[in-house]
Amino acid sequence: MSFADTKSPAPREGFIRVRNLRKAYQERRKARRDPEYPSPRYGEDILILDGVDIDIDEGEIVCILGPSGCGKSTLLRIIAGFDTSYTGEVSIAGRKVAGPSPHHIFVFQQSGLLDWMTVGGNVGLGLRRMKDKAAKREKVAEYLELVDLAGFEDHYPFQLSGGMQRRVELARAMAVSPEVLFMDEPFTGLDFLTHMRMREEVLNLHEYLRKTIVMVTHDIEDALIMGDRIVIFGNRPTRVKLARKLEFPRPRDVSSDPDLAELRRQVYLMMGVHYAL
Amino acid sequence: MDEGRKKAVAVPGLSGFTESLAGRVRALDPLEKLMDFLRRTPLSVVSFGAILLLWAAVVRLGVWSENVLPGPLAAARGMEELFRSGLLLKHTAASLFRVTAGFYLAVLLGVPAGIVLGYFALARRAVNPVIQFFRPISPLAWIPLAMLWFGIGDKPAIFLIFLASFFPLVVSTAAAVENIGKTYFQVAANFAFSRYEMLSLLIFPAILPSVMVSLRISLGIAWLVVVAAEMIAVKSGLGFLIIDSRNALRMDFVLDAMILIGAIGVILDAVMLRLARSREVLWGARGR
Ligand SMILES: Nc1ncnc2c1ncn2[C@@H]1O[C@H](COP(=O)(O)OP(=O)(O)OP(=O)(O)O)[C@@H](O)[C@H]1O
Ligand SMILES: [Mg+2]
Repeated sequence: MSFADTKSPAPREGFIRVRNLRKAYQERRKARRDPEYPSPRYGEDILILDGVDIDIDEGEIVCILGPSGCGKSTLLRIIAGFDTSYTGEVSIAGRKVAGPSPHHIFVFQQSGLLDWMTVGGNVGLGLRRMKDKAAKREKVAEYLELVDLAGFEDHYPFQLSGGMQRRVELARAMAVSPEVLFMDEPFTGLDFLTHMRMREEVLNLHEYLRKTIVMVTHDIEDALIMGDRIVIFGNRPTRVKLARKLEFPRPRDVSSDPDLAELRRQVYLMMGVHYAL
Repeated sequence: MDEGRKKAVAVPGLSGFTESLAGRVRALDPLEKLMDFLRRTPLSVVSFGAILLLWAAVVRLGVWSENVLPGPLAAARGMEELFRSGLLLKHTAASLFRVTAGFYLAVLLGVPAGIVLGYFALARRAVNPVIQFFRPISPLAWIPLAMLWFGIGDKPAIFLIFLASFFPLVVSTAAAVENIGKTYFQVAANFAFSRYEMLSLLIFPAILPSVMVSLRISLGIAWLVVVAAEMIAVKSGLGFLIIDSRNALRMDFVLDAMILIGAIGVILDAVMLRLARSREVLWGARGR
C-alpha cells in the first residue's frame, strides 16, 4: 500500500494532477487538396490538447466547459485511463493513470448501460464479487432508491426513458463508491425538468458520498451551480483558458447572487457569446 | 358492417347480439360471405388450398400420365403407405439426425471461431480471405472428397452439412462481434471484467440477437444440403427416399418426400424463430 491509500480525514489537494498534457489524433480523412483552405494531410497528426494543466482536489465537483470539438471528452477519457497515447503527466492520488479501474467510473456521453441486462443487473455490475446475495440486492435497491428508481430492478434499459437510463447509470457508478466519477455531458438530451432533477440528484449524491466528480458540460448554468471548480477550454489546439475555484455558498442561485451573475457574464464572454442581449 | 364490428368491440355486452345480427345480414350476400370466410381463415390455409386445387387440376388435364405426376389423393395414399411401413419415420429420423449432428458441430466450432475472428483484428485479416475463398464453393462440390475421406454412411453427409453451415456462421458471428458498440467494451474495462466475464456478460449476450438470426438461416441451408447429400452419399434419409423412389418409379413417394422436406423445414424455421424471440435475445428488438 502506498501513502495515498491510507485514509486521511482532510481531502487531498492535487488529487488529480494533469501536467503539460498533449494529445494528437491522426488525420484519417482523405481530404481533397484545396490551396485556399489547407487541411491536414492523411496520416498527419492533428494536435487536440496542447499542454493542458489541471489540479483537482479530492471531493470536488469539477465542471469542464469548452467549445464543441475542443477535446473535453478526449481529456476525460485520458484521465479515466481509456486512452493512453499522450504525452505529459496524468495522475490520480499520486499514482500515474495506467488504465481504467473500478475506482474511477466513467458515465458515458451516450448510454453505457449493458442493454441485455436488467436495471438490477446493471446497478449490480460493480458488486459482482459480493458473496452475500441478499446484501447485494439490498445495496442495489438502496442506490436505485437514491436516483428515484425504486422497484425498477427487473426492467430492461430499452423499457426506460432516456432520463431514467441516465439515472440507472448514475446509480451503477455510485454503487461501487468510486474515488472519482467521470461524467461526459450527463444531462444532454434530457428535457428541462429532468435536467433540473438530475442536477439535484447529482448534487445530493455528492453531498452524501463526497466523491470527486469530473464533469463535462455544455451548460454554463450547470457549471456555475454545481461546480466547486470550473475549467474552461479554448479552441483547438486546446489549452486551459480559465481554471477557478468557486467558493460560493450553496444553494446557489445565479439570479440572486450578483457575484455569480458577474462570473456568468464573464464565462459567456470567454466562450464568445453575450449573456445579455 | 365494419362499423358494427368496431362498436361490438367497444361495448362488450352488445357484442354477441351485434355479431349474430351482422352474421344474418351477411348470409344474404354470397360474395360478402366469401370475403368474410377469407378474412377469418389464416391466409396460408387459403394459399395451400389453392395449390392443392391447381395440382389436382393439372393432373386432371392429363398433361402428364398419373405415373409421372400423381394427384393429391395418390400422394396421400402413398404417404399412408410410407407411414404404415415405417419408412417415413426411418428416413425422416435419419435426415434429422444428420442435420442435428452437422449443425451442432458447425455451431460448436463456428461460433467460437467467429468470436475469435471478430475480437482479434489480426486473426480476421489473416483468416477472412481464406473463408471468403471457401464460401462460394458449394458444399455439394465436396461430395467426392467427403466420400473418399469418410466412406459411405452418416459421416460424409454430416461433414457436408457441417461445411454448409460452418462458413456462414463464422462470418456472421465475426461480424456481430466486430459490431458490438465500443462503449460496452469501455464499460467492461471500467468494471474490470475478467476474460470469462468478457464472454459471458458482454460478448455472448451482445451477439445473441444477430447470431440467432444466422443460426436460423444456416439451419435452413443445412436442411437444403442434407437432402442433396443423401441423394448421393447414403442409403437412408429423405433425399435417398426421393432417389430410390424415382428408380422404383414411385413418383407418389417422391412427392411425399418433397412434402415432408418442406413441412419439416417450416417447423425447424418456426422453432428457431421462437428461440430468437425468447427473453434473452429480446433486448436486440431495440435494434441498437
Ligand atoms: N478517434 C478519433 N480519431 C480522430 N480524431 C478524433 C477522434 N476522437 C476525437 N477526435 C477529434 O478530436 C477532437 C476532440 O474531440 P472530443 O470528442 O474530445 O471533443 P469534445 O470537446 O468532447 O466535443 P463535444 O463537446 O462536441 O462532445 C475533435 O475535433 C474530433 O474530431
Ligand atoms: Mg464530448
